[in-house]
Amino acid sequence: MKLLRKPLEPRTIATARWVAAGVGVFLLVALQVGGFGQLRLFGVYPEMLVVVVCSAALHRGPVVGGLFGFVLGFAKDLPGGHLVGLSGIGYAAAGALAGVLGARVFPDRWPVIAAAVAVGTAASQIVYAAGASAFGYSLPIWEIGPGVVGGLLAYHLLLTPFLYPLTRWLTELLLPGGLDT
Amino acid sequence: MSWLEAAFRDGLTPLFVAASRVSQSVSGLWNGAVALLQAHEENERLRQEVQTLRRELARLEEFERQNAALRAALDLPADAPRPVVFAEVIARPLNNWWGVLTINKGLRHGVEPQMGVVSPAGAVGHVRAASGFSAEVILLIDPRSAVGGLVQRTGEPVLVEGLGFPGTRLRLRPLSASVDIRQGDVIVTSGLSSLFPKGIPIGVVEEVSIGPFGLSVDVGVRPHVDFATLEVVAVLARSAPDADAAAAGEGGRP
Repeated sequence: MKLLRKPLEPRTIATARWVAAGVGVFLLVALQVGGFGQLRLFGVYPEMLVVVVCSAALHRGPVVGGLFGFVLGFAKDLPGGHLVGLSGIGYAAAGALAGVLGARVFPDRWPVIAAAVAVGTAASQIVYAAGASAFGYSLPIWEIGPGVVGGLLAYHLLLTPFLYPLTRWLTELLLPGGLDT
Repeated sequence: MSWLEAAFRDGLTPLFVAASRVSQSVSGLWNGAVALLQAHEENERLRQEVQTLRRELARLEEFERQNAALRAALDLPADAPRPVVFAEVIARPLNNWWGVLTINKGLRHGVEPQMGVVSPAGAVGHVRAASGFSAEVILLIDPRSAVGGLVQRTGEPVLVEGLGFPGTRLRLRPLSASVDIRQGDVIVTSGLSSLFPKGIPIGVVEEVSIGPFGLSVDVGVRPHVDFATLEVVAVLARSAPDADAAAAGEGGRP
Protein backbone atom coordinates (compact mmCIF):
# COMPACT_ATOMS: atom_id res chain seq x y z
CA MET A 1 0.00 0.00 0.00
CA LYS A 2 1.37 3.34 -0.93
CA LEU A 3 1.27 5.94 1.79
CA LEU A 4 0.62 9.44 0.57
CA ARG A 5 2.07 12.15 2.73
CA LYS A 6 -0.45 14.85 3.39
CA PRO A 7 0.91 18.29 2.39
CA LEU A 8 1.34 20.73 5.24
CA GLU A 9 -1.37 23.34 5.72
CA PRO A 10 -0.27 26.86 4.73
CA ARG A 11 -1.17 27.97 8.26
CA THR A 12 1.16 25.35 9.78
CA ILE A 13 3.98 26.45 7.49
CA ALA A 14 3.39 30.09 8.44
CA THR A 15 3.39 29.21 12.16
CA ALA A 16 6.60 27.22 11.78
CA ARG A 17 8.21 30.17 10.03
CA TRP A 18 7.18 32.55 12.81
CA VAL A 19 8.55 30.20 15.46
CA ALA A 20 11.80 29.80 13.50
CA ALA A 21 12.02 33.60 13.11
CA GLY A 22 11.51 34.02 16.88
CA VAL A 23 14.24 31.50 17.67
CA GLY A 24 16.43 33.20 15.06
CA VAL A 25 16.02 36.58 16.76
CA PHE A 26 16.91 35.00 20.12
CA LEU A 27 20.05 33.37 18.68
CA LEU A 28 21.10 36.51 16.82
CA VAL A 29 20.87 38.59 20.01
CA ALA A 30 22.92 35.98 21.90
CA LEU A 31 25.50 35.95 19.11
CA GLN A 32 25.70 39.74 19.10
CA VAL A 33 25.91 40.24 22.86
CA GLY A 34 28.02 37.23 23.83
CA GLY A 35 29.97 36.58 20.62
CA PHE A 36 30.51 39.37 18.11
CA GLY A 37 30.11 41.94 20.85
CA GLN A 38 33.41 40.79 22.38
CA LEU A 39 35.56 41.01 19.25
CA ARG A 40 36.88 44.55 19.29
CA LEU A 41 38.45 45.97 16.15
CA PHE A 42 39.09 49.56 14.98
CA GLY A 43 38.45 50.57 18.61
CA VAL A 44 34.79 49.49 18.55
CA TYR A 45 32.59 46.49 19.20
CA PRO A 46 30.59 45.57 16.09
CA GLU A 47 26.80 45.69 15.89
CA MET A 48 26.33 42.78 13.50
CA LEU A 49 22.56 43.07 13.90
CA VAL A 50 22.65 46.30 11.86
CA VAL A 51 24.33 44.43 8.99
CA VAL A 52 21.70 41.68 9.25
CA VAL A 53 18.85 44.22 9.27
CA CYS A 54 20.22 46.15 6.27
CA SER A 55 20.89 42.95 4.32
CA ALA A 56 17.33 41.70 4.90
CA ALA A 57 15.77 45.12 4.26
CA LEU A 58 17.45 45.43 0.86
CA HIS A 59 15.23 42.59 -0.40
CA ARG A 60 12.12 43.12 1.68
CA GLY A 61 11.58 46.87 1.45
CA PRO A 62 11.38 49.69 3.99
CA VAL A 63 8.31 48.51 5.93
CA VAL A 64 9.52 44.97 6.61
CA GLY A 65 13.08 46.28 7.06
CA GLY A 66 11.91 48.85 9.60
CA LEU A 67 9.82 46.33 11.53
CA PHE A 68 12.59 43.72 11.50
CA GLY A 69 15.05 46.35 12.68
CA PHE A 70 12.78 47.42 15.51
CA VAL A 71 12.26 43.83 16.70
CA LEU A 72 15.98 43.01 16.63
CA GLY A 73 16.99 46.31 18.26
CA PHE A 74 14.33 45.96 20.96
CA ALA A 75 15.41 42.36 21.68
CA LYS A 76 19.05 43.50 21.90
CA ASP A 77 18.13 46.22 24.40
CA LEU A 78 16.13 43.91 26.68
CA PRO A 79 18.98 42.08 28.43
CA GLY A 80 20.74 45.40 29.03
CA GLY A 81 17.67 46.92 30.63
CA HIS A 82 18.84 50.44 29.79
CA LEU A 83 17.03 52.78 27.40
CA VAL A 84 15.06 49.78 26.18
CA GLY A 85 13.66 50.40 22.70
CA LEU A 86 16.14 53.06 21.63
CA SER A 87 18.27 50.60 19.67
CA GLY A 88 14.98 49.36 18.21
CA ILE A 89 14.24 52.83 16.85
CA GLY A 90 17.81 53.18 15.56
CA TYR A 91 17.73 49.80 13.83
CA ALA A 92 14.26 50.55 12.43
CA ALA A 93 15.69 53.69 10.84
CA ALA A 94 18.57 51.62 9.42
CA GLY A 95 16.19 48.99 8.04
CA ALA A 96 13.84 51.56 6.55
CA LEU A 97 16.67 53.43 4.80
CA ALA A 98 18.21 50.23 3.45
CA GLY A 99 14.75 49.13 2.31
CA VAL A 100 14.19 52.39 0.42
CA LEU A 101 17.56 51.93 -1.28
CA GLY A 102 16.72 48.34 -2.21
CA ALA A 103 13.38 49.38 -3.65
CA ARG A 104 14.99 51.98 -5.94
CA VAL A 105 18.06 50.18 -7.24
CA PHE A 106 18.83 46.52 -7.97
CA PRO A 107 20.07 45.34 -4.59
CA ASP A 108 22.29 42.37 -5.48
CA ARG A 109 25.40 44.41 -6.24
CA TRP A 110 28.24 44.96 -3.79
CA PRO A 111 28.31 48.78 -4.08
CA VAL A 112 24.59 48.89 -3.27
CA ILE A 113 24.95 46.43 -0.38
CA ALA A 114 27.92 48.38 1.01
CA ALA A 115 26.03 51.67 0.67
CA ALA A 116 23.00 50.20 2.47
CA VAL A 117 25.15 48.92 5.34
CA ALA A 118 27.03 52.23 5.59
CA VAL A 119 23.85 54.34 5.59
CA GLY A 120 22.16 51.97 8.04
CA THR A 121 25.15 51.98 10.41
CA ALA A 122 25.40 55.77 10.46
CA ALA A 123 21.61 56.20 10.84
CA SER A 124 21.34 53.71 13.71
CA GLN A 125 24.13 55.42 15.67
CA ILE A 126 22.89 58.96 15.06
CA VAL A 127 19.35 58.04 16.08
CA TYR A 128 20.62 56.25 19.21
CA ALA A 129 22.87 59.12 20.29
CA ALA A 130 20.16 61.72 19.60
CA GLY A 131 17.60 59.63 21.51
CA ALA A 132 19.91 59.17 24.50
CA SER A 133 20.55 62.92 24.56
CA ALA A 134 16.80 63.55 24.39
CA PHE A 135 16.40 61.35 27.49
CA GLY A 136 18.88 63.54 29.34
CA TYR A 137 22.06 61.47 29.08
CA SER A 138 24.99 63.75 28.46
CA LEU A 139 26.86 61.66 25.90
CA PRO A 140 30.02 63.36 24.63
CA ILE A 141 28.67 63.03 21.07
CA TRP A 142 31.09 65.38 19.32
CA GLU A 143 34.12 63.95 21.12
CA ILE A 144 33.38 60.27 20.56
CA GLY A 145 30.75 60.19 17.78
CA PRO A 146 33.11 60.31 14.78
CA GLY A 147 35.25 57.53 16.28
CA VAL A 148 32.22 55.32 17.00
CA VAL A 149 30.60 55.81 13.58
CA GLY A 150 33.88 55.60 11.63
CA GLY A 151 35.03 52.46 13.46
CA LEU A 152 31.66 50.78 13.03
CA LEU A 153 31.53 51.62 9.31
CA ALA A 154 34.88 49.95 8.74
CA TYR A 155 34.00 46.94 10.89
CA HIS A 156 30.55 46.43 9.35
CA LEU A 157 31.87 46.65 5.79
CA LEU A 158 34.38 43.95 6.75
CA LEU A 159 31.59 41.72 8.07
CA THR A 160 29.20 42.32 5.16
CA PRO A 161 30.69 39.78 2.68
CA PHE A 162 30.10 37.04 5.27
CA LEU A 163 26.81 38.15 6.77
CA TYR A 164 24.99 39.33 3.63
CA PRO A 165 24.80 35.97 1.77
CA LEU A 166 23.78 34.20 5.00
CA THR A 167 21.08 36.75 5.78
CA ARG A 168 19.81 36.68 2.20
CA TRP A 169 19.46 32.88 2.33
CA LEU A 170 17.75 32.97 5.74
CA THR A 171 15.40 35.74 4.60
CA GLU A 172 14.36 33.65 1.59
CA LEU A 173 13.76 30.68 3.87
CA LEU A 174 11.80 32.44 6.60
CA LEU A 175 10.19 35.37 4.81
CA PRO A 176 9.62 34.22 1.22
CA GLY A 177 8.41 36.73 -1.33
CA GLY A 178 9.91 40.17 -1.44
CA LEU A 179 10.94 42.95 -3.77
CA ASP A 180 12.98 40.56 -5.89
CA THR A 181 10.26 37.94 -6.50
CA MET B 1 14.99 45.97 36.25
CA SER B 2 11.53 44.78 35.12
CA TRP B 3 10.51 41.08 35.25
CA LEU B 4 10.52 40.97 31.43
CA GLU B 5 14.11 42.28 31.22
CA ALA B 6 15.21 39.93 34.01
CA ALA B 7 13.53 36.92 32.37
CA PHE B 8 14.99 37.76 28.96
CA ARG B 9 18.47 38.18 30.39
CA ASP B 10 18.30 35.01 32.50
CA GLY B 11 16.96 33.08 29.50
CA LEU B 12 19.82 34.30 27.37
CA THR B 13 22.53 33.71 29.99
CA PRO B 14 23.39 30.12 28.89
CA LEU B 15 23.60 31.32 25.27
CA PHE B 16 25.75 34.29 26.33
CA VAL B 17 28.09 31.89 28.13
CA ALA B 18 28.32 29.56 25.10
CA ALA B 19 28.85 32.41 22.62
CA SER B 20 31.35 34.05 24.96
CA ARG B 21 33.40 30.82 25.25
CA VAL B 22 33.52 30.48 21.44
CA SER B 23 34.46 34.14 21.04
CA GLN B 24 37.16 33.88 23.72
CA SER B 25 38.57 30.75 22.07
CA VAL B 26 38.82 32.55 18.72
CA SER B 27 40.51 35.60 20.20
CA GLY B 28 42.64 33.32 22.42
CA LEU B 29 44.00 31.48 19.39
CA TRP B 30 44.98 34.74 17.75
CA ASN B 31 46.49 36.20 20.92
CA GLY B 32 48.35 32.93 21.52
CA ALA B 33 49.92 33.03 18.08
CA VAL B 34 51.00 36.64 18.57
CA ALA B 35 52.34 35.89 22.06
CA LEU B 36 54.43 32.97 20.76
CA LEU B 37 56.23 35.30 18.38
CA GLN B 38 57.13 37.66 21.21
CA ALA B 39 57.74 35.01 23.88
CA HIS B 40 61.51 35.50 24.25
CA GLU B 41 61.39 39.27 24.74
CA GLU B 42 58.36 38.89 26.99
CA ASN B 43 60.23 36.36 29.13
CA GLU B 44 63.21 38.69 29.62
CA ARG B 45 60.94 41.60 30.50
CA LEU B 46 58.98 39.50 33.00
CA ARG B 47 62.18 38.24 34.71
CA GLN B 48 63.23 41.84 35.33
CA GLU B 49 59.73 42.73 36.50
CA VAL B 50 59.72 39.81 38.98
CA GLN B 51 63.01 41.09 40.48
CA THR B 52 61.56 44.58 40.85
CA LEU B 53 58.34 43.27 42.36
CA ARG B 54 60.23 41.09 44.86
CA ARG B 55 62.06 44.16 46.14
CA GLU B 56 58.77 46.09 46.24
CA LEU B 57 57.07 43.23 48.13
CA ALA B 58 59.77 43.19 50.79
CA ARG B 59 59.36 46.97 51.21
CA LEU B 60 55.56 46.67 51.45
CA GLU B 61 55.76 43.86 54.01
CA GLU B 62 57.85 46.16 56.19
CA PHE B 63 55.28 48.96 55.73
CA GLU B 64 52.47 46.55 56.60
CA ARG B 65 54.22 45.51 59.79
CA GLN B 66 54.77 49.17 60.75
CA ASN B 67 51.15 50.00 59.87
CA ALA B 68 49.81 47.19 62.06
CA ALA B 69 52.03 48.31 64.95
CA LEU B 70 50.90 51.94 64.60
CA ARG B 71 47.23 50.96 64.37
CA ALA B 72 47.61 48.90 67.51
CA ALA B 73 49.33 51.81 69.27
CA LEU B 74 46.51 54.19 68.28
CA ASP B 75 43.83 51.61 69.13
CA LEU B 76 42.39 51.68 65.58
CA PRO B 77 40.38 48.67 64.34
CA ALA B 78 42.09 46.44 61.79
CA ASP B 79 40.84 46.52 58.17
CA ALA B 80 38.41 43.63 57.81
CA PRO B 81 38.63 41.87 54.42
CA ARG B 82 35.37 42.06 52.44
CA PRO B 83 33.75 38.92 51.09
CA VAL B 84 33.90 38.66 47.31
CA VAL B 85 31.99 36.83 44.60
CA PHE B 86 34.10 35.85 41.60
CA ALA B 87 32.32 36.11 38.26
CA GLU B 88 33.04 35.51 34.60
CA VAL B 89 32.43 38.18 31.97
CA ILE B 90 29.86 36.74 29.56
CA ALA B 91 28.95 39.76 27.46
CA ARG B 92 30.56 43.01 26.41
CA PRO B 93 28.94 46.42 25.89
CA LEU B 94 25.59 46.31 24.10
CA ASN B 95 26.72 49.26 22.02
CA ASN B 96 29.70 51.55 21.82
CA TRP B 97 28.24 54.52 23.69
CA TRP B 98 28.24 52.89 27.12
CA GLY B 99 30.84 50.93 29.05
CA VAL B 100 28.89 47.94 30.35
CA LEU B 101 29.70 44.28 31.03
CA THR B 102 27.44 41.35 31.85
CA ILE B 103 28.69 38.83 34.41
CA ASN B 104 27.44 35.30 35.08
CA LYS B 105 26.55 35.87 38.75
CA GLY B 106 23.35 37.50 39.98
CA LEU B 107 21.01 37.80 42.93
CA ARG B 108 21.10 34.02 43.53
CA HIS B 109 24.85 34.28 44.12
CA GLY B 110 24.67 37.30 46.40
CA VAL B 111 25.40 39.95 43.76
CA GLU B 112 23.27 43.06 44.25
CA PRO B 113 23.09 46.53 42.70
CA GLN B 114 25.55 49.13 44.02
CA MET B 115 28.30 46.62 44.77
CA GLY B 116 31.85 47.47 43.71
CA VAL B 117 33.62 45.32 41.10
CA VAL B 118 37.39 44.90 40.94
CA SER B 119 40.04 42.92 39.08
CA PRO B 120 43.67 42.18 40.00
CA ALA B 121 44.66 45.35 38.11
CA GLY B 122 42.33 47.66 40.02
CA ALA B 123 38.81 49.08 40.21
CA VAL B 124 36.48 48.00 37.40
CA GLY B 125 33.09 49.58 38.17
CA HIS B 126 29.89 48.82 40.03
CA VAL B 127 26.83 46.62 39.62
CA ARG B 128 23.93 48.58 38.14
CA ALA B 129 21.28 45.89 37.95
CA ALA B 130 21.08 42.20 38.78
CA SER B 131 18.72 39.42 37.82
CA GLY B 132 18.69 35.87 39.19
CA PHE B 133 21.69 34.52 37.31
CA SER B 134 23.49 37.52 35.83
CA ALA B 135 24.26 41.15 36.52
CA GLU B 136 25.15 44.28 34.59
CA VAL B 137 28.33 46.08 35.60
CA ILE B 138 28.85 49.75 34.75
CA LEU B 139 32.55 50.25 34.03
CA LEU B 140 34.57 53.24 35.20
CA ILE B 141 34.77 54.38 31.56
CA ASP B 142 30.98 54.63 31.18
CA PRO B 143 29.79 58.24 30.87
CA ARG B 144 27.34 57.55 33.73
CA SER B 145 30.10 56.48 36.12
CA ALA B 146 31.54 58.76 38.81
CA VAL B 147 33.74 57.34 41.57
CA GLY B 148 35.38 59.08 44.49
CA GLY B 149 39.17 58.89 44.46
CA LEU B 150 42.32 60.21 46.04
CA VAL B 151 45.60 61.39 44.59
CA GLN B 152 47.91 58.90 46.30
CA ARG B 153 50.84 61.34 46.57
CA THR B 154 48.94 64.18 48.25
CA GLY B 155 45.70 62.64 49.53
CA GLU B 156 43.64 65.24 47.58
CA PRO B 157 40.03 64.12 47.04
CA VAL B 158 38.95 63.85 43.39
CA LEU B 159 36.02 62.57 41.36
CA VAL B 160 36.83 60.16 38.52
CA GLU B 161 34.34 60.18 35.63
CA GLY B 162 33.98 58.02 32.53
CA LEU B 163 34.21 59.39 29.03
CA GLY B 164 32.77 56.47 27.06
CA PHE B 165 34.38 55.50 23.78
CA PRO B 166 37.17 54.55 23.15
CA GLY B 167 37.32 53.38 26.72
CA THR B 168 40.95 54.10 27.38
CA ARG B 169 40.69 57.34 29.29
CA LEU B 170 38.97 58.75 32.37
CA ARG B 171 38.36 62.36 33.34
CA LEU B 172 39.34 63.57 36.75
CA ARG B 173 37.57 66.40 38.56
CA PRO B 174 39.41 67.89 41.54
CA LEU B 175 37.20 68.61 44.54
CA SER B 176 39.32 71.41 45.97
CA ALA B 177 40.34 74.72 44.38
CA SER B 178 44.07 74.60 45.15
CA VAL B 179 44.77 71.21 43.73
CA ASP B 180 48.23 69.72 43.21
CA ILE B 181 48.05 67.07 40.49
CA ARG B 182 50.98 66.11 38.29
CA GLN B 183 51.55 63.80 35.41
CA GLY B 184 52.29 60.29 36.71
CA ASP B 185 50.27 60.66 39.92
CA VAL B 186 48.49 57.46 40.92
CA ILE B 187 44.75 57.72 41.65
CA VAL B 188 43.21 55.26 44.11
CA THR B 189 39.71 54.80 45.52
CA SER B 190 38.86 57.04 48.45
CA GLY B 191 37.02 54.43 50.52
CA LEU B 192 34.41 57.04 51.49
CA SER B 193 31.51 54.83 50.39
CA SER B 194 30.60 51.17 50.57
CA LEU B 195 31.42 50.59 46.89
CA PHE B 196 35.19 50.21 47.23
CA PRO B 197 37.58 50.01 50.16
CA LYS B 198 40.28 52.66 50.30
CA GLY B 199 43.38 52.32 48.15
CA ILE B 200 42.28 50.25 45.16
CA PRO B 201 44.18 51.55 42.11
CA ILE B 202 42.08 53.41 39.53
CA GLY B 203 44.66 54.79 37.13
CA VAL B 204 47.58 57.10 36.41
CA VAL B 205 47.36 60.79 35.52
CA GLU B 206 48.36 61.09 31.89
CA GLU B 207 47.88 64.78 31.18
CA VAL B 208 47.04 67.91 33.11
CA SER B 209 45.94 71.02 31.27
CA ILE B 210 45.07 74.26 33.01
CA GLY B 211 42.26 76.32 31.47
CA PRO B 212 42.41 80.08 30.71
CA PHE B 213 43.30 82.24 33.77
CA GLY B 214 43.78 79.04 35.77
CA LEU B 215 40.04 78.76 36.37
CA SER B 216 39.67 75.16 35.32
CA VAL B 217 41.79 72.03 35.31
CA ASP B 218 41.33 69.23 32.78
CA VAL B 219 42.96 66.01 33.94
CA GLY B 220 43.10 62.85 31.87
CA VAL B 221 43.64 59.50 33.61
CA ARG B 222 44.66 56.22 32.01
CA PRO B 223 42.90 53.38 33.88
CA HIS B 224 44.97 50.49 35.24
CA VAL B 225 42.39 47.96 34.04
CA ASP B 226 42.26 46.96 30.38
CA PHE B 227 38.48 46.77 30.06
CA ALA B 228 38.64 45.20 26.58
CA THR B 229 40.31 42.02 27.82
CA LEU B 230 38.64 41.48 31.20
CA GLU B 231 37.53 37.88 31.65
CA VAL B 232 37.11 37.40 35.40
CA VAL B 233 36.13 39.99 38.01
CA ALA B 234 35.43 40.02 41.74
CA VAL B 235 32.27 41.61 43.12
CA LEU B 236 32.82 43.16 46.55
CA ALA B 237 30.07 42.59 49.06
CA ARG B 238 29.06 45.63 51.08
CA SER B 239 31.13 46.39 54.16
CA ALA B 240 28.19 47.40 56.35
CA PRO B 241 24.44 47.58 55.74
CA ASP B 242 24.19 51.18 56.95
CA ALA B 243 26.68 52.28 54.30
CA ASP B 244 24.15 51.71 51.51
CA ALA B 245 22.91 55.25 51.69
CA ALA B 246 26.42 56.57 51.22
CA ALA B 247 26.90 54.36 48.17
CA ALA B 248 23.84 55.85 46.50
CA GLY B 249 25.70 59.14 46.19
CA GLU B 250 28.65 57.53 44.42
CA GLY B 251 28.97 55.26 41.45
CA GLY B 252 26.37 56.70 39.13
CA ARG B 253 25.06 59.92 37.71
CA PRO B 254 22.18 60.59 35.34
